[in-house]
Amino acid sequence: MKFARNFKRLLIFVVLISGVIYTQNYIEANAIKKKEMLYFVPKKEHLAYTNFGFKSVVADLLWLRGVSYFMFHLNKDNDYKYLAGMFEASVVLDPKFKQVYRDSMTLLLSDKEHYGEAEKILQYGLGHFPQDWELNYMAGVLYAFYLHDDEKSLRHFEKSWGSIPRTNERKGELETITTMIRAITEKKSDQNGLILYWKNKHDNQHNKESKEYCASQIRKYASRYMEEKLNEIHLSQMSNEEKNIKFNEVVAAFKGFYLNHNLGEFINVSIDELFGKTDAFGYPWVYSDRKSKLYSFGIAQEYLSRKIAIFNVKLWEKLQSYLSISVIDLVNYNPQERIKYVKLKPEYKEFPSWEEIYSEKDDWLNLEVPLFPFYDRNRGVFLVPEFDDLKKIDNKYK
Amino acid sequence: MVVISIAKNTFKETSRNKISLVLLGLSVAAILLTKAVAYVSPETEQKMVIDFGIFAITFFGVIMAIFNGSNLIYKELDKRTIYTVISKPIDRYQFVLGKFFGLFFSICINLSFLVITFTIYCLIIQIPLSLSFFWAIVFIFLQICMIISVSMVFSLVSTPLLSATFSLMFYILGYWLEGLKELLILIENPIGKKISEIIYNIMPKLFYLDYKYQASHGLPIPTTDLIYVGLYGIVYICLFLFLASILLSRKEL
Repeated sequence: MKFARNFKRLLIFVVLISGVIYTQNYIEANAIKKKEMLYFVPKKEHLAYTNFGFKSVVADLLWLRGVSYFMFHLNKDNDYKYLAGMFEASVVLDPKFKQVYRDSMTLLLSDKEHYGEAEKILQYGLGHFPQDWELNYMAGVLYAFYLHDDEKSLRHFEKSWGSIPRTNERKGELETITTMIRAITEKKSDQNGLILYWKNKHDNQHNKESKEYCASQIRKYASRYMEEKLNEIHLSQMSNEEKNIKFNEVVAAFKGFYLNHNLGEFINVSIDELFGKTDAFGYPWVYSDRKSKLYSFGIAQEYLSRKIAIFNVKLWEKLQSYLSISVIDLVNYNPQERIKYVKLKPEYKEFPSWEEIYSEKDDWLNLEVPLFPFYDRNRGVFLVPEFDDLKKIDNKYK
Repeated sequence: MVVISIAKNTFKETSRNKISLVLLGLSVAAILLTKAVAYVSPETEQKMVIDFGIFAITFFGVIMAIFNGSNLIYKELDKRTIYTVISKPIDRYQFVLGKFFGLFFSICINLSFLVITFTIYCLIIQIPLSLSFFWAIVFIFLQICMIISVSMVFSLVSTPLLSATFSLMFYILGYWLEGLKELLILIENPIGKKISEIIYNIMPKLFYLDYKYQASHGLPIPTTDLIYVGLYGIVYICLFLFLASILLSRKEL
């Protein structure tokens, strides 16, 4: 009797458990899959009054919900219509939640429709962190690449540039920001305008490093200004005498501009001692003989080519210690066949890797980038470049 | 001495409550799971761990204060055990104070356990806690004292269920008033505005005692703020305990 009763109880228990398992499996397999995901994003104003002291937690939950919502729709329908609402509500509850400002930019900018919303959230963030370099940097990127407003972009990049900590940790970011500022300013101004822009920036800086950076920009644009003018003269069909007259005019104009804007302190030469002259090969240069040194703003193209040629010869001098053939001998062979003669000396097991060469850190090896076109990674060897090859080096390596 | 004896008894009584242990266990679990929540967004880990940790601590404290506080005196009245106490030469306010401190210490010990667990947990997972965090905890304790005292008042005028509901409303309203303050600017009707202003000025504002946000971001809290807000909380607690004493003394026992 007792056994029968226990058996009946066990049977009922098993049946009920089986029922639970069966129904659960059914729901999991069918109902949930078909179910449309419903989203409810409460209005930010309502949330602000109904969080009952847990603003921060609700903001966190909304943020997490936003991220999971994004992940759910990523590569499915890419429809993120509620995303901005979630992020906005999150920052209204917790305006110091910097992560939302930062990441909402990344997530919202994946869809053109949400650029405006990303801007709104970011501007809200900038209202709470007006001097934050990171948010200003993001705003700069947003306006530069997405909303195409160079004025605003420059304003934010400048703020970011002014507030980013000058530490080794942030060196990379600082360089990116300065590159962006340079790119935007170059787009909207000529060389003289750029020089004045950096001069103004220099005068408003208190940080020594920032001042030095501005000064270097002034020097760079001054140099470029001269290069352009000299190139112009060089390529013209004027006689040498006419060219000389023209040089002096350019130098005089250059001096005038510098003196008018008090820029003399930014270049390493005495502005009064500058003069234009063509060298023995007929190339125009600007000289200054202050402190017995010769400063020149030459034709960049030729100047760089010469530097690269010297550089490559020096490199080969180094590499030939590994090789069974000298560079001088190698140059005598047909360029197509040279590779056949490049053999390692028996005492070396393998050709030095790029990293090994790079790690030398000699002065002349610092210019490693132009070498890449002559380095055959598959074979692990360097090809001897011809002077004409050097001229063909892509501008980006210069 | 009388107050201490009553407090001791209340402490023993509330400590035996199994629901407290279950809630405590859940809160510890919630604290230990904060890291998992933050896992979704690693860069906000510090903020999220602190937010959810404080949430667990507050939630436990508030629920315990509401449910124990609502039953505290009502049970004595209902089971008539209060007669054994008041038949002795003690004042009603001493009874109220004893009950209050008994429950407060009981919750205090549980909450302290949660705070210590959370602090150790943060040390293990290398999440720095700012001074603001500890101030936020101090003011959570003060909020809980306010809720205990107000629920004691409610328990003297209604049933435990209603009393718990009123106490919960008190807590919600205490925070909602922050929103009401902002809404006051938008109200155009002069009568409505006046009524809202009266409600705002009369009701205890729990949001004054809320430093969770500062704890979450490690923002400094001015010392003068701490003093005034602390005093504000203490004065309200005294007021509610005083009211509870009056209500108890008016009861025909």
